[in-house]
Amino acid sequence: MWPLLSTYRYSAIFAVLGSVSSYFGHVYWNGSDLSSFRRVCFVVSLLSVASFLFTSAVISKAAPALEPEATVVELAPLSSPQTPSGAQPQEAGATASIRQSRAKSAVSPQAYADNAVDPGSDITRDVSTLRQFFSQVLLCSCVFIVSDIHAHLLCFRRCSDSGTSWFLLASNVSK
Amino acid sequence: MTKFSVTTLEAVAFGATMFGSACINNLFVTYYMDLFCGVVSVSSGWFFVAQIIFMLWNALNDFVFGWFSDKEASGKGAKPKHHPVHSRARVIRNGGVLWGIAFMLIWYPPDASAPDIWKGLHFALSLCMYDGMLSYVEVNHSALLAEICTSSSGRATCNMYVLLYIS
Repeated sequence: MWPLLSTYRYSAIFAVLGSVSSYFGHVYWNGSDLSSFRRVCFVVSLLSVASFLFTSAVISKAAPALEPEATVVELAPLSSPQTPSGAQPQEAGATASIRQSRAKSAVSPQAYADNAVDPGSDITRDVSTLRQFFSQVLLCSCVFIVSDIHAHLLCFRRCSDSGTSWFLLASNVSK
Repeated sequence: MTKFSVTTLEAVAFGATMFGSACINNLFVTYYMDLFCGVVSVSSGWFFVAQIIFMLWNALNDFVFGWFSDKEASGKGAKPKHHPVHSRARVIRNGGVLWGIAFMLIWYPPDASAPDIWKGLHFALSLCMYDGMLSYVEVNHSALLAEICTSSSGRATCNMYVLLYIS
């Protein structure tokens, strides 16, 4: 049955399955006839889609539990020395109840609605305009492109020389 | 009750996306070069053109998808009770299916005797589509961690399952 092993062990088993997908690809790889390899890819693809759907279903189900929680904070009575001069005493001798809606989750819907926590704040606040945003994107892209061109040219040269993609495989693994 | 942390099931589910990612990606990075250089025999010119298009797309799509998904998750124009986690989960579901389709399309290239332009276009488009869906899913998956729990121990648990799956 399911609980015979700990979740760690089940995870480790699935990790092995994920890592050996390229091994099964190797077993069924045939350059002149891709049909068996395509079958392996189809099974791997189904497994992957199932795992994405599993993530989506469980996380969606858990989302209502991340709603903000309302907490009541009881304040001590206001004493006269602490009351500012000229200010009207506010419910002297009574306990003020302040209801605070406090989102204990990192991000709540209300926080999003109020823009108190905005996931796009890095863009909308730090970078004031879309033009500035895209200029930064282009700058970063140039850096990535130069480094990628170097890496890919190196890979292609090695692959052309040896006729295999072992160097590419090694470079991808090392990434 | 509001949760600070996550249950084991949620942590496992969070890591499951990386299981799918590892399954697909291991096959892709190992065999796509064999396929296009060995089986389809894409010409050198088209190989470089496709790689340059792919590099440009690869450099841009993380920013674009990150910005797009954050805007969508921020709930502007969404329902009042809309929770950003729902948006992320929906993207993982829909993007994951598209990712699987993009992965399968790679292995149906034109014949080796087909014109170079078709082989080159298939190479470029399949690379871009695959990488686009990869970014679309993984950017949202990464953003999900901060939104499903607040405690450092809960986040460490989620990360542990992610690392287990991709190891």
